[in-house]
Amino acid sequence: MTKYGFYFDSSCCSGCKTCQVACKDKNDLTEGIRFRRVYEVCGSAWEKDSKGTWVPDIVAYNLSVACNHCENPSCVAACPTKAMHIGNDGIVLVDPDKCVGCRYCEWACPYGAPQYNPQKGIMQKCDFCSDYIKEGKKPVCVTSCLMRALDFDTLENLESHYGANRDVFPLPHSGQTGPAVIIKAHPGAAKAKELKASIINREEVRNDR
Amino acid sequence: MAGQNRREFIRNSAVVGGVALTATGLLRETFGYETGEVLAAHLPRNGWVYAGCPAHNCGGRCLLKVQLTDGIITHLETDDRPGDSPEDPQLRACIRGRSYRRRQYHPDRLMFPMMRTGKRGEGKFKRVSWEAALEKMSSEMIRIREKYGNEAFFVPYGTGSYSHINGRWPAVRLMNLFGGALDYYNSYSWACISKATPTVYGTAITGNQRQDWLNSKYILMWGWNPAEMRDGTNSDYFLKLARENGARIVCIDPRMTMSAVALADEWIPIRPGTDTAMMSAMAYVIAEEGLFDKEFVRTHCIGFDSTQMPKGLEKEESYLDYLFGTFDGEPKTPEWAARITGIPSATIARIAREFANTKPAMLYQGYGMQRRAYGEQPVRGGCVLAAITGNVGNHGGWASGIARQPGGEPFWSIFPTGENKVKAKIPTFLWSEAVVRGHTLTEKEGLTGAEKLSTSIKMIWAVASNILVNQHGNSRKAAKILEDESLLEFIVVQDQFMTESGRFADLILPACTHFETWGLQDGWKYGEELILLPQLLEPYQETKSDYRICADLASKLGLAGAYTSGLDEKGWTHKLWDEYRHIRFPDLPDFDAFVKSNQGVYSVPVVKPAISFENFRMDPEKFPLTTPSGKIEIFSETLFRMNQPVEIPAVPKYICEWESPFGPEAKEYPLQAIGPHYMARVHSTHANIDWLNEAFPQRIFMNAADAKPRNIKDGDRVKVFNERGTIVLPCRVTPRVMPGVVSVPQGAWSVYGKDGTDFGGNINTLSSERWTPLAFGNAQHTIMVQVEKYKA
Amino acid sequence: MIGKEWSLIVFSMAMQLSAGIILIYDLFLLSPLYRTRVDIPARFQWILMIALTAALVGVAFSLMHLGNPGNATRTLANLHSSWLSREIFSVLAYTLLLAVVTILHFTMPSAARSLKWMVDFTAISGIVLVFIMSRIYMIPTRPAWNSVFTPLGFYLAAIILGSSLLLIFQINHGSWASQKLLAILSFSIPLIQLAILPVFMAWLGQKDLVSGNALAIILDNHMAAFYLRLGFFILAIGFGIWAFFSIRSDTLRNHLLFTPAILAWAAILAAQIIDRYLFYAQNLPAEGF
Repeated sequence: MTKYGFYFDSSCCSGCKTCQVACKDKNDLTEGIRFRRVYEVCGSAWEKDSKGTWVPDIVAYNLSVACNHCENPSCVAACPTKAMHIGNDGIVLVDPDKCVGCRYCEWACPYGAPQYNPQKGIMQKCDFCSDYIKEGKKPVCVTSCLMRALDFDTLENLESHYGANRDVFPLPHSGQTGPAVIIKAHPGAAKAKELKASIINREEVRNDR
Repeated sequence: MAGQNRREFIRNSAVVGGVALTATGLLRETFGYETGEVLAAHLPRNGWVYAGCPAHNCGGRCLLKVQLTDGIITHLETDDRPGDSPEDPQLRACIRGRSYRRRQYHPDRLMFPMMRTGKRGEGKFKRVSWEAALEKMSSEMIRIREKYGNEAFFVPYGTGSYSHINGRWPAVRLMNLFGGALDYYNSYSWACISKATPTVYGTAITGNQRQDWLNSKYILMWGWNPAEMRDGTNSDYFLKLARENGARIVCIDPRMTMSAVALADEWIPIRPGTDTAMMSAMAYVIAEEGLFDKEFVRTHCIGFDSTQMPKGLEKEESYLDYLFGTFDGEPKTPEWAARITGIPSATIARIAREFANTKPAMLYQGYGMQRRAYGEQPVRGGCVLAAITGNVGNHGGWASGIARQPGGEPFWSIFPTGENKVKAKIPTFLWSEAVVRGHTLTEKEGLTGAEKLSTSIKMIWAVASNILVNQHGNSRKAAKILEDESLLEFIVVQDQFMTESGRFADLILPACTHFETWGLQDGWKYGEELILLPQLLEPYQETKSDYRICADLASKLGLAGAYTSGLDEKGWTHKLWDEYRHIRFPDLPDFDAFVKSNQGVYSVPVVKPAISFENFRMDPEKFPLTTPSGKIEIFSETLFRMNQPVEIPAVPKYICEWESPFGPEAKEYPLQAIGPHYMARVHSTHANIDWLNEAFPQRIFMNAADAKPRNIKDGDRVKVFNERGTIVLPCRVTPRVMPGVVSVPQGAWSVYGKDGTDFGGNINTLSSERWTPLAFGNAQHTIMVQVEKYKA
Repeated sequence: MIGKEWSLIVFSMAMQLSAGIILIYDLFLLSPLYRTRVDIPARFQWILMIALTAALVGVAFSLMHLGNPGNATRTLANLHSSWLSREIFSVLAYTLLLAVVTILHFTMPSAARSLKWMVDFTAISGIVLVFIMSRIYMIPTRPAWNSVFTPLGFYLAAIILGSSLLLIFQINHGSWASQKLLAILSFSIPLIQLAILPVFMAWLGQKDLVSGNALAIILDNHMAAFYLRLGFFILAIGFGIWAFFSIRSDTLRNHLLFTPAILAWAAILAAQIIDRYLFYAQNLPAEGF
């Protein structure tokens, strides 16, 4: 079985959210639903020096996160109806005919991937643009990226191109669910914990409905 | 919120007009057109069509791949040409282009001509026919021409729509056929930099093609934020490549911008309006430590030191005299600059050394710093730093200044507008002065082409322009000027949405979108490409293309033949396409064949990037500059002769701004407010698009050091105010803006409450109409404000 | 944020009320009766009716939480790994058992002895249900929920809701001892809840950033609810103590218990509702995702 994955280069992501909107356009998503979200991680210690000038010690970087189509997806484990399931090629999918709209997968997923559609009363999520994969194309977010910070391929190919790192602060440890994503960390991420960084753009990424 | 208010507003205006809107209202409430919309047979109904991304006044020029299903746009993709090399990169559209469906099928789009029924600015309109609308407009034009003459007409700066055949150019062509109109020069974007750059280099073409950035080893992104403002499609991508090639990138900016996050190795926060102080201190360190390119300065520059002064001015203040304080007793040391800029002196000295010692190096100036009180100074200061370090005319270097690229001309519009018989020109920002006191304007207010004007402006025809109110400095004052019917006798606003400017119109003309007509765009400031915008859809409701509106008006005025030359929008596109073959791209394919091929873009790979001043660098005697001295003018005799040494010095100087943290105004209004470009908008265009507002809601950005003492928490609604106005908007508390500075992204649409409070969060409610001394440019970013927690 | 959780607040409280009633009923009301071998009194039938009604209300509200209730029948499909599946199963099992027991209370009031083991069984299934309900929330993605405080809180809520209600039922009929016991529960459980509160808050504050944010949200955005809950807790304790001292062995003076018991029950219900509301307000994803 082929196992696909995303690659994300956080070091050059500007946070422009073109990926988010390209995805919304392809999937006709109304306001509030984002299969791909861009999280702004930021932490700092501004200090006034002896001469009264402000000196920043700051980290800031972006994380573009869709569904990582995990090996052990907690959304699938949590789903009471088995609507959330692992389909062909390891793609995690929602069966709209089975979904009961309980939103428990939304709680269970450590990446915030499953998105509730209040009009339809069911969950929706990234499907790796399955139709595009069949046509030999890459997912729409990948080809939209202005900085060429996103890529898509088989995990095997991605690992040989970009290495195997799957972790960056503050994503949950990859051992938890086995996400199919290879990540190049922003250099600032090394200092993120020290500077008490956190996601600061909640109003831009959360679905409150 | 703004969108809703506007929707209500249009409904209200329709009620006032007594027009039943039920059927069309229903249509507008739906996402797209209703099924059964009749589409012309010549338009594609299904499949993928490559089309230029409607750029408005975006710095990028991109390609969209439009999916049509039964004549409706169902999906947008972007450039997917194989290859994507640095020589010929894909022109990938950003979030604004990708959300264009939400604009194209927006329920608030204007649908038919409307005439004002209430007072000016009240926003009450009634629907009228095109016949009645154009009859009214032509009769007003004839009346005003008879009463005041052609100087009474003005087609203001407007960038909400352009693709050569669209936007204000067709209106200018008609006005010129009608006898001309008062013209303007420079722009809201880069008034100071377009004026000041030639005082150093004699030209505005000071940049290199971007592929050359990959040769640079050190890049100062000075107030430059290409990722967010889209300063050229792929500019941020080229910087990424330059960095991968080993360039160190340092960002100097009051904000840790998206560009700083994605591209810079270091961010140095600087107090807005003090860039020239930092530049001067850098030059001081470079001069003091002998780090400048002595040979280049000797052979290619004048005015650096007293040995290089123009004849007869040997005793005047040279640049070194300024730096060392020979005349004013104030050496421009890093310690001096630290107090002004808020940057530690050691950092200033270190950046100076890094910049001077790393070769080749680029100092790229953004345009935000020159939309300020003495915006001419940092432009000249940046150019001088580039010059004294010998980074002019070489690969990997950068002469600084406005930096239009060689070979890239023309980048604005080549639509033939004809000859304007009115020779008088005003600085574009001073249109409101020309409305209030046109006949008193002189060269002191930047009037050119005439000693004085015979009349104030009496009729404005604003095409794709929101500068009448929303985007003008001190927009509340501008609104008062527009309200006064004794000043402007007729205002026409031609646009796609009911903008804040539109509210003040006497006549509204609804224009169609780029997808509904033909157009053409080149790579603007950068990029060797020509992009086609083929018509994909029938114009919505009763809308027409800007060109068609003008052509119909021309026939009302009896000018139809002269105006159209028998060409429609596609005909003009064809004609301009062929024109490009003569002026820029000799190998351009046949128009019809290109349209048929469905490629969308014609691009020329840049294998050997062009460098400005290459010849001049090689041999300054044989290839002199067009400056009076033929050299790089660190000291400008021209400026010296203007005899205003305090505000227009002959060498670049730091001048304390008229509103600053150092003046008495800081007591009441202690925070500097800047209005940067926002990813969600192109100026005020796109301000009503849900997907964009979801991604980037309008907010004020504030450092915790300023928020905490004011008891403001992240997400709180705050009141931002000064003596010109008050805005209310949510607050994002973030360390990514320096203490003492707040950032209110420009371009949000004003939504005024009863007491005049602007709940839309438009920074121009707070900005000033005062202009800069040399360029007569807008200084809208120079404002002081106070911020409080908002209590309803 | 809270708006969408109202159905869950009602569902979880109704189920816990029901389980608490049955548990307390089994322990303190039915057990003595069982030993004395008399018929089940009519008011016990009503206790069962109330517990069953609460469970049915809970089931109804759980359906209201679903975006697509048409698929509700499918929710038992993943007992293998989904705590939600297990919850729904145990809700149904418990309610079914309770319905049977209730019917038997009405149809076979004299069979107290044989009913006793069935009530025992129902009470145990209620205990299991409350545990499974708490397991739903004990997930690493919701740090503020993921602790022993969640089952502790749910069990205390079940016990206090059940005991304070049954105290009212015992006013004119119950034994002096059972009244005393129920009254002690009515003020000591809120006292325990009140005592746990600072421990929980201290734990939240030091655990991690998200839990800290959850705490901050309560203190910043739900300050009124926070203090209201404190107030009702204190009122509940006060009324509970008042009730305790109003209990007389003299059955003629039973009416003295009436006012404090009703007030205690009302204050407890208010405190628990606000407590549950604040529980859902802490629905903050780990690391903000």
